[in-house]
Amino acid sequence: MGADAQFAVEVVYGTSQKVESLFPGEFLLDRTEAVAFELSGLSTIIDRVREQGLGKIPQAIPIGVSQWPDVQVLLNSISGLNYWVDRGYFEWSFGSSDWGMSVRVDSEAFRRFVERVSTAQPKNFEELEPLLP
Amino acid sequence: MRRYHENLSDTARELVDQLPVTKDTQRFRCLMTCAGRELAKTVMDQLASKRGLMVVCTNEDADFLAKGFVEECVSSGCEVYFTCFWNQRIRHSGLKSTSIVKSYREPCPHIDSVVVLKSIIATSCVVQTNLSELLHACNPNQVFVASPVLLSGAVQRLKASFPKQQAEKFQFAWFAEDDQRLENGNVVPGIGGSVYELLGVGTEDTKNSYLPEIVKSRRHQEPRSGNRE
Repeated sequence: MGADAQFAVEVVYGTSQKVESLFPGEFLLDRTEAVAFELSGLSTIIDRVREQGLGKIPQAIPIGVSQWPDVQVLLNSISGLNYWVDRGYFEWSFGSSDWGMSVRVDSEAFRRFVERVSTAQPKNFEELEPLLP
Repeated sequence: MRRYHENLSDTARELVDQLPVTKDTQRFRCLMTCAGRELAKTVMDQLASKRGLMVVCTNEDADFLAKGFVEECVSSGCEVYFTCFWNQRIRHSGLKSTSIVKSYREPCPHIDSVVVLKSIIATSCVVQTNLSELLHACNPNQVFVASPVLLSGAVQRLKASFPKQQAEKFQFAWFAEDDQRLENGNVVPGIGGSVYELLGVGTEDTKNSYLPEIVKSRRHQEPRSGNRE
C-alpha cells in the first residue's frame, strides 16, 4: 500500500463451529477452498496470530506430557471440577461460576502445570486453583 | 490537563487527586476501595432498580475498587451479583488483544443492570472485551461504566465499538478526565502509573496469578439467592 493511500483494510479473524448455514452478509472461506484460502492471505494471518500468541485459534494437538494420564486421574477426583481439552487448549470449570481457558497443551506452561499438579497432589479446588496455568 | 466531573463531591475530588501521588501500596489500595464506594453512590443515584445488579471487574481491581463498590451497594439494599474477569493483554507490532483467560461469574436469574468497573480507562480495550462478553449473554436495562479516571475520548471510543442499540444504554460514572498519555501507556496524571504495581498485584505479565479474596469468599456462599452479603 502506498504512502498516500487513503484507505485501510481491517481484518477480522475468528473461529466458528457453526458454519453449516450462513446468514445474509456472511460468507465462508475455509481450507477446502484451497486456492481462494491461500489467496485471501488468511492462512498467513492465522499462522502469524498463532506464532505471536496474539489470539487463541484452536487446533487439534496431541498431549505429549508423560504425567498427564496420572494427573487426569487426580483432576477427576476433585469435587466440582470439570476439565476438558478442546482443540489444543486446556479448559476447566468449577461449580457454576468459575471457568478458565489457559494454555495450549503443547506449551511449556501446560507442561509445568502438569508437573505442579503431579508434585502438589491437590485434593480440592482451593488447592488446585493456584496451580492452574 | 485534568478536567473534573461537574457534579463531583469533595470526597471524590480528594480521592482522585490523592491517587496519582500515592506510592504506598496499602494506602493506594485503601484509596481505590474508597473510590469504589464513591462511584457506587453516583451509580445508585441513577439506578432504576435495586434488583439484579451485576458488578463486573478485572481480577486486579476486585479486592479494592470493586470491593468498595459492592460494599456500598449492598449496604444500600442492592441485590448484587459479581463477575470477575482475568484478561490477558498481548501486544505485538502495534496489535493488541485482551482476551479473557479466566472468569468468576455468579449466576443471576435476571440481570437488570450492569456496572463495569475499572481503576482507569484509557484505550477502553479491556472494558470493551468484558462488556462484550457480558452483553453477549444478557440484555440489561441499564449499563454503567464506572472509573475514577478516564482518558479523554474513552467514552466515545467505547460507544463507537458497540452497536448503536447497545451503546445508547451506556451511562458513565467518573471523577476526572485526563488528556495526556505517555508512550508507555500510562495516563498523566491518571492514577500515578501502572495499576498492577501500584496495587501490589504483580506486573502486567504476572497479575493473572492474583486470586482476589472477594472471589474466594463469595464462591463459598453458593448456592445463592437474593442478597448475599
